[in-house]
Amino acid sequence: MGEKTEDIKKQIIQAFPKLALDSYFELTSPYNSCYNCIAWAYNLDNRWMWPNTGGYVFLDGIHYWPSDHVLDCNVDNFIEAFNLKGYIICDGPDFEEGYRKIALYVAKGTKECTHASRQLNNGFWTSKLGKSQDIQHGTPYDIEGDSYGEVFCFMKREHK
Amino acid sequence: MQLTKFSAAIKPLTLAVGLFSTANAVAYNSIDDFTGIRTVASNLRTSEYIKSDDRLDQINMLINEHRFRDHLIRWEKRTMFLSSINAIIENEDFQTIVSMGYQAVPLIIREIENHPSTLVWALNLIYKQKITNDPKATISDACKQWVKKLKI
Repeated sequence: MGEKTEDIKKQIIQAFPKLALDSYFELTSPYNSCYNCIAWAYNLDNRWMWPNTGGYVFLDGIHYWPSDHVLDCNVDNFIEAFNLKGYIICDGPDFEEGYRKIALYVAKGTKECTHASRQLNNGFWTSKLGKSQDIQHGTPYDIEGDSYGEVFCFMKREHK
Repeated sequence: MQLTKFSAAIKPLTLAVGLFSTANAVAYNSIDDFTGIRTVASNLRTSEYIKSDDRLDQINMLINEHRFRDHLIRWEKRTMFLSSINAIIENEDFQTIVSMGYQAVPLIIREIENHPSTLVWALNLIYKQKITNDPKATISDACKQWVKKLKI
């Protein structure tokens, strides 16, 4: 592994200290600020998806999600939006054959959604870290902390 | 940008004045030598002034570039892991870049040409418009279109 990769991992661990103990933590893409965590939860890597909070109406490259309607970042709106794509709330992060799971995160003590991660076919999890890289992590809890707060809920949908 | 254009436009006039006074200085050089009036010295000051004006422009450009890069690095670092559009845009350093207005435009263009990124939103805020209304356009597409439109 190159020196640069190690430096990037150190930088990420500074923001997500639990990853230091995660032996499955890996960088899985180069830096790319053209897509974000919500797009990546949908397995897309060419768009920036976020609710239209109403403040900025003329930004390029944004896919207001789930529609152009003005919404705040309350996690309930994110749950509803994933509902529209067939996801339903489920109990926990354990891997279930034939299902794809996601986890939604909120800032501590609030319902403000900060992040989404997605379970991979190998049972590990993947996250696009804002404008930065996407990574593999062992469990959805490994990226909890000051940056993304804590896991609020899990959702799943059938996956062929 | 407007200021730069203005100072560029005024330079030929400054040069003309400088050349005119140089011609006079050559004609009256002997008189000046005799009387001890150092017109040539004043012409040197004129040319020094012209040179210093150029240097001022260059220094201002360097200061702007340094200022821009400073804010860009801090913005990248502080918003690196965020997805929230509001949090990315309302960051203090991003707002400072936007407040630099047209002076920041060539620097933004150079940056997004090499590294397409959400920095393109600074152009949206400076020009108060999108480059494309194509709903399928990605950040990368938008960066290319801004570069095509604004790169000199």
